Amino acid sequence: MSKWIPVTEYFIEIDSEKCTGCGNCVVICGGEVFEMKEKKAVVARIEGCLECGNCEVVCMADAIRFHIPKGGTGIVYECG
Amino acid sequence: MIYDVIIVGAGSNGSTAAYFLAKRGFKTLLVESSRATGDKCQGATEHVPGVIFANRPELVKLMLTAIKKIPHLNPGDLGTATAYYYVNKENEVVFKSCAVAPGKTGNEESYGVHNQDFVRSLVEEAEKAGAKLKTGTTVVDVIREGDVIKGVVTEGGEEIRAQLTIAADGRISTIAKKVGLLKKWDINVCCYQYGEAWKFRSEEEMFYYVERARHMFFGSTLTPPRPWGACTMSPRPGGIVTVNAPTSWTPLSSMVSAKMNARTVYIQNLYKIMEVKRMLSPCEGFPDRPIQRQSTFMPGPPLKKPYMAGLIICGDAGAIGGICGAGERAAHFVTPLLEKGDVSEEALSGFNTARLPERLRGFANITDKKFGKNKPTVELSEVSPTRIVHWSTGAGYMEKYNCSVDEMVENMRLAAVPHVMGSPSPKKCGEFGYIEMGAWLIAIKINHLMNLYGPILQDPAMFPQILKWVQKNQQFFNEKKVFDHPF
Repeated sequence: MSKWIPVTEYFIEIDSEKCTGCGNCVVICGGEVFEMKEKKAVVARIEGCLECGNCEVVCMADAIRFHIPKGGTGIVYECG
Repeated sequence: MIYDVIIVGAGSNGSTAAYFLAKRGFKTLLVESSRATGDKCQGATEHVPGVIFANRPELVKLMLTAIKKIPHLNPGDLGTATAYYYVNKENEVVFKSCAVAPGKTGNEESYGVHNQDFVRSLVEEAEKAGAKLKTGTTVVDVIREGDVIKGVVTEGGEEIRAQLTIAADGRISTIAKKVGLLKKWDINVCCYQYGEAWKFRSEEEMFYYVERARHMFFGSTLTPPRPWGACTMSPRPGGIVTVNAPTSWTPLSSMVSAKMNARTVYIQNLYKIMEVKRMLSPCEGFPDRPIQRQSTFMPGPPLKKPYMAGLIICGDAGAIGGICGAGERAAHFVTPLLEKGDVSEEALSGFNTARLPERLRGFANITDKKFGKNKPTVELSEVSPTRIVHWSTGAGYMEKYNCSVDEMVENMRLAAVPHVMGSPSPKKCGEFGYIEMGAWLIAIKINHLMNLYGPILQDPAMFPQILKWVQKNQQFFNEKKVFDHPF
């Protein structure tokens, strides 16, 4: 099982003012991290994050910032 | 302590660079964000270093040393039988074929290993060579003095100084973004991969369900609009199989416009295949859910400018992909500069070409004259599958055989068959095999590498030719052709 070491601060930032609610992040995320709430994307399940960074790339409004999580936190792949 | 070099990111390229630089006597620091090296590495790769890096014996030696030290590498586990599955529009498996057994590719050793194990082993080699490793440390910024990068800043605010910083920090490169060399990857050229790991109760059960399949190719329409996708299945001791990249080379933008992600495509494809088996047999041993998911993207064309004074961007961070090669090239390039102590922007500007594999360096100036139509094509019977894939970068192939795009396409179509399908006879492997495999090699690899090396290969005469060829045959590829049903 891949592990998830809790991240002490959010490494995915969504600027809800910029967010246009296009839903690209919800579509592309393989870890089902995002949800739409009141036509804005929110991080609903951070522990599902696979740290691929696709959300930042697909955000046409430039509202998502993906940072590398704090040292030693985040996903740990155990099966290669 | 001031280091000669700081390498950010202990992946395959970062640790390779660390190995070579430490070996040459530079004080080298390798910084990694995860607790243990390899924690964030995923997927598996078939390595044939002797072929891919034929002219770089030092690198081949390093890779083979690292591979052979992987503790649970069980020769044959990852490198035995290979099966190809073809799936049609309705997701039915229409054709399955076995290919040559790896283990040796031509005269060279080939090994399938998990990238995680490989990277861990590689970092050990780098440490042995004298590089210092610092894990659990995320780099958040660089130290700037005027226009010169003098080192990095970690999240704890610690400043680590070095003469040169090598950013090998992956696709979402903090450093490349911080210094302004990377704004944002292009959604139209970034490709998406998704994978899962499944745990069966025993190796026997694993092999029963996955049938030693290592490569699966999904048919048309499943990964629109680039109509071909492929995936690798890597059985691993303990009944775990990792499955990767079923939607390889599908641009993110097409996923978004089709309103699906790689995972949904993956479920449509792989699960369907596995389901068939499960429905036809008692399903006790079939796991309910994958034990791991993994996701990534392949960045677009190489960064226009991968350097500034005191800093170079290496590997995925600068969109020069590949395992180990980019790191070795970076190390090779910076060695004389570090010896002279010259890390000025001007001195590092040579990295623009030095970062590319040699065979691609001359391609900035491609002309039609060079690849005239009248050049003879060359017999390719000696070509190994790895070489085909390797050369299907197109540019390297055309350079080697001095042929046109059409000739290359034709040759690859023919050459793919005896090696990949295991039989040169169209009667035996079927038209489907010919066309699909040839098309796969061409469309996937060339499209992808055209994406990757777009700035270099953007000869207006080349890309449309390939696209035209693919479009011309599109209808044919889409026709449903049913061959031997495997189950």
